[in-house]
Amino acid sequence: MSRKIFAIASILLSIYFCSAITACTKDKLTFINGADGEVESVVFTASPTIMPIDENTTMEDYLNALKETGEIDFEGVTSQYGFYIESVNGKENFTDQGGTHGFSWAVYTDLVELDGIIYSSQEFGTYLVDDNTTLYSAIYGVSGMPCIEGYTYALVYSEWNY
Amino acid sequence: MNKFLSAKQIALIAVFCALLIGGQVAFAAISGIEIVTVLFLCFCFCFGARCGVLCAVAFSLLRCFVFGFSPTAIVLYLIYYPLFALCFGALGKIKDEDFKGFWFLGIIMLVFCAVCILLILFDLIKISKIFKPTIEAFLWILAVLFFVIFLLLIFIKNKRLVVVCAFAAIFTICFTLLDDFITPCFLRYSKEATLAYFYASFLAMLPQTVCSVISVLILFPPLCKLFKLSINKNRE
Repeated sequence: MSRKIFAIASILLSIYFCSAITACTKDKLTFINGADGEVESVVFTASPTIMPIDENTTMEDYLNALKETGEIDFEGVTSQYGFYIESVNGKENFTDQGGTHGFSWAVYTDLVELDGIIYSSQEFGTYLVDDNTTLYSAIYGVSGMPCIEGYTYALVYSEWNY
Repeated sequence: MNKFLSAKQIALIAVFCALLIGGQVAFAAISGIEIVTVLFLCFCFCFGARCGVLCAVAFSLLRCFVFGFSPTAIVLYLIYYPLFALCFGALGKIKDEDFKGFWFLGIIMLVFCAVCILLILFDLIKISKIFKPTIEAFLWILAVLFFVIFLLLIFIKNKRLVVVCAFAAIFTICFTLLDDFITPCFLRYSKEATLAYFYASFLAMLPQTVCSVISVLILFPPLCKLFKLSINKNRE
């Protein structure tokens, strides 16, 4: 009898700890490295464990909350279109001398459409996080992108050409 | 009119082009404020369409060294600013008393005012919910400005300033609408992507239109006086 109780308790505890680990991983940032070994993207799924999320929470607010916990460091400037990210964890945007090619931190998300408003589109670009998750290039920057619980967002170091 | 420009005119165009680029750089970081429209408008109004068009082409190409070489921006600027120069250069040739012939602009301003109000009431701009309050505020400001311009066109005698203001607003709106046509064509967007791009462009269009109307109302008289003073001094 006591062995049965012990076995059931062990199984329940295992299930509990596995759930806890999964929840923690979901809340945390995922840093994905490129072929050169440097950070290529920063991916997260919006969760209220980082900060309370309401209808006015933006991706910028969420990133600032993550910055306060020390999980990410980023710099940028405020422009007429909102906050423009210039570097993430020291990796800066780059433009070549001719001004026709470079790399910049771009916003990707799986929030495609909400209430008839389009927030991202595969036409503007896609980013494959893993076999199950494809993110789409956002129409808005971090200041204009609403942060909604359960949706995945990413800052991707993207190449651009003219 | 002489076939060739004088050395003084060429130098003037070059200096003014530099002033435009400097002005654009200075206000690039400030949301919704731009000085290029009012400066270039006064330049074309006072110095004529020919100087204006040459300055427009030089500005459109040289600004790329500061802001980067974007094909869509280059095409947009090369179409927009020469047309802008031709229009305001032509307006500069009209006598003050002949501006009353532009009464039809009052109807256009009233239509724009109605469009702004309809866009708010029926929530027709499908833009990020984060920007909705800002967009609504700008639409109300624009509706009021268009209505004020309509009233001024009806009631005041000297319509020159108001006509110039109305054209500045129309051109600023057309700038964004032209970009909404050129960029999706160039990048071959689908209908949905084009529509999303169009809605997102309101973020730039509305504050720029408010800025150009207010800046022209305030700065057009003193700037024109200054430019005409330098023209008269040059003639002496």
